[in-house]
Amino acid sequence: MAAPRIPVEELCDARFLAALERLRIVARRVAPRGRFAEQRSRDRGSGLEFKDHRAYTSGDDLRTVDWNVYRRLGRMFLRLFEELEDLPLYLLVDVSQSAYFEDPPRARAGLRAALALAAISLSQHDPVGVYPFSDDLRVLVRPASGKSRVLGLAQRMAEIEPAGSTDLARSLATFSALRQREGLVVVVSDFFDPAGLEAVTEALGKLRHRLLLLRLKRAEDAEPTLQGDLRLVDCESGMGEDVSISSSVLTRYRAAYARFEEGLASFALARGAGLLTLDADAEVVPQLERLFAGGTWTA
Amino acid sequence: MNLSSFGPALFATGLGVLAGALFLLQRLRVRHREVRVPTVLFWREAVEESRARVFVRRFRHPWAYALALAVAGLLWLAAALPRSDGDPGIEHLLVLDGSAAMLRGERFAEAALAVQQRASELPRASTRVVFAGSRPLTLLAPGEELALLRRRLEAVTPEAAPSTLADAVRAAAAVVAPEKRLVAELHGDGALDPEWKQALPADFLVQRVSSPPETLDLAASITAFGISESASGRWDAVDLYLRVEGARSALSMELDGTPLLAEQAASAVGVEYRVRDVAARGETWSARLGDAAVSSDASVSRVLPARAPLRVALSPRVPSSARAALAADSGVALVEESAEVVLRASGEEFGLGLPALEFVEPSEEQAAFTVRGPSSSGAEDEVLALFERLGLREVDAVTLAMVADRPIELRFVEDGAGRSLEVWDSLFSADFDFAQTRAFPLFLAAAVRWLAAAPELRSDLAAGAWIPAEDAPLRAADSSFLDGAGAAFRLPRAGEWTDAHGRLVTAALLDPALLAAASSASYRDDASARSSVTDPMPWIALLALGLLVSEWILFRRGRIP
Repeated sequence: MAAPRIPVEELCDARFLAALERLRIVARRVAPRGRFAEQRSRDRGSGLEFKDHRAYTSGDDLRTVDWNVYRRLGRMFLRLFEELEDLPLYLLVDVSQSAYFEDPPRARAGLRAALALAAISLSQHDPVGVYPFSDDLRVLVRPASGKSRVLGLAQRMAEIEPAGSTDLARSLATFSALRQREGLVVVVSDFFDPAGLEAVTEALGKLRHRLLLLRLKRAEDAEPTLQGDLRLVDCESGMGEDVSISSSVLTRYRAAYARFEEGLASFALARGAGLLTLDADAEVVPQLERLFAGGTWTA
Repeated sequence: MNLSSFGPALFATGLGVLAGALFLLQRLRVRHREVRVPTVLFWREAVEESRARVFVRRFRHPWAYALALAVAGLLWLAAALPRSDGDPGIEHLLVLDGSAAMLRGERFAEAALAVQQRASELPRASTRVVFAGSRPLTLLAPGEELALLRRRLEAVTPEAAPSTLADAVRAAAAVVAPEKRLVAELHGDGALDPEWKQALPADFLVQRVSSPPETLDLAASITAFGISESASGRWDAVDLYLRVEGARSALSMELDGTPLLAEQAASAVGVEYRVRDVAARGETWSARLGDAAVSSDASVSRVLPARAPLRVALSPRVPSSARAALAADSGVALVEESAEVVLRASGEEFGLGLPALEFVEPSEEQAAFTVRGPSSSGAEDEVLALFERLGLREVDAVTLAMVADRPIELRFVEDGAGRSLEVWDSLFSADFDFAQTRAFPLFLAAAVRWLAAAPELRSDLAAGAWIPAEDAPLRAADSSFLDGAGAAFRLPRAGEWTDAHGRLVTAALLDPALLAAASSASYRDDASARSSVTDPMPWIALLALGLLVSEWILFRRGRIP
């Protein structure tokens, strides 16, 4: 049975957008070349925010000389201002079968989180692109900015249909091949890749973008309530695994799951990536607020 | 502990089969329930780790197996109906009263049910169940299957018989091993002599455990019924006596179908009926009550003796006083020939060979009264019986002794040849006034009847009464018969019987104690009398239930599959 799409009403409403207004993503540094926006670039330029002084050299614009310094020191220094650039946001959303087969589907929380981040970025004039992936990645919305695009994004996201199994390595390779300008890549997924966590972290490590991982989980992932003699069927691959649930099996399951969580956290720490675990059964915005401590998250 | 349903070998075999079957079930391929999950990644890791550690690939749940085996074993044990052996030093006896007292209402059914219940509670190996009807009958011997008891109980019913509770306990006590003691429970209302337990060892415990009937009804019963020699002294007539106790009820009395009128007299124990000087012609005397407590006491009947005058021959030398006295006796016919008894002087050959009353010269060796005849009991008893029977109690022996200046003695001499009686002839002389006393004709009449071996009257015929050997065999309506094998025997139960002479006799209970003696005071449901045998079944059931609950909890917690 094909999993249903997530209707647009479930993804976005006025209250949802209002809750996001005070949240802000700030990049530590963005690559120059982008268009003007609110992110600090590595360039010194004609921005409004003072950054530094440097000694005057021939040909410099006299308007930038700091005359107060000259009066005190008798030497000419220029005032340097920060050049503000935009921070592209690339939303890579997991739309594999595992994100859709439960009720409510994990994809609902994932898409709402992606939309929330998109809304925040768009409000900062940053371009946002959406790239759903399962066994491969496709372009749903090319990066573009504009505050009014939030609803349009929501409608496009609602059109997403679940597909295939998870192949994060291939999807990320596809994304890299798009040669997008350096920005913030947000991967929204449960990271249940049949290839294993190692293949996932290896692929993620190759990305040249800043990275934020939004992991979708449920309480049952860590503490399964299954009992008896079961044939567990993978919802994506259809592969079965005969398991007689016992306390020892459960103990080993928990240990395996803990290793998975620790592996992902270690990777994020080593890579300097953000990692936020979202409970798919809870409201998304309050959970995102944990990420935006004080209203700002620095990528 | 022993097993009621089957033996230890079968139990062990069954347990082994169960263990094997459960083991095979554990090793069978598990039918898995299919469940879809987001990923099997972690499950695969968990299962692969466990597989590597399992000794026998498919025997994955030893604790589940142990639990299942324990529950199955307990259920199997319950099916074996284990019973505690109780105290090995105790022999249990359950006595079900089947006497007339249990004929009332549902008393017998209630007692039978109680016996069944108690038998199921007591250890089979040391419990005996006895039915105390007209005679004790073992219903279930120690070690016999309990299932037999129910069938055997269906085959017995209370009988119109005196209580044999005491007989049943005595018989059981006689076979109890010396190192053991008997604990007997009496279920029923039958009467018990308060003294009877004294013959049992002191550590034997006998207790009536049934509850008393709610009401001890006193419906009418014929409690005494008999014939006696006529008080008027007539040999050819008898007096009839009958007593009714309990509620007043109409009594009809007949003699061969002819209504008979009786004198009535109320006494402390009931109403007494008497009919005097009824001709002893072999007719049937019957009496019937309109309503009685038990049917056996509703009617009685008895064939009266047929008494023809006794033929007596007298030699010319017989004292005239004796001749005159016998001539006045309507029960005696003085004949010249075909005499049954003769009276003669000592040394005469008159009526030689016939039972004779001889008048002898007093001598040093000769007692005043010498009786010769075959002995059937101890000499002393025989002499005492004769003393009474010959009417010598009425003789003023002191006066005679003073006149004779020597003791007046009665001597018994055992003589297989026949009966004879020797009397001093001087007692009939003018020196003594014996011939003028009231005792004289009585003595003569009694002497000739004893010499003729005239049958004595049985005062009554009742269940429990002694029956003389000559009346045997007694035949019952169902053609069964009773015979004392040459000795007197007790009539076991009331009912209609035909004696050896073809006479129909109806025996009643005639014992008010049968119905009334079991008073409330004699019932004591004494818990201490009951052997406390622990029934393991409730504990087995509780344990099995506990294990099932544990299994369920472990299953719910995912500790076992």
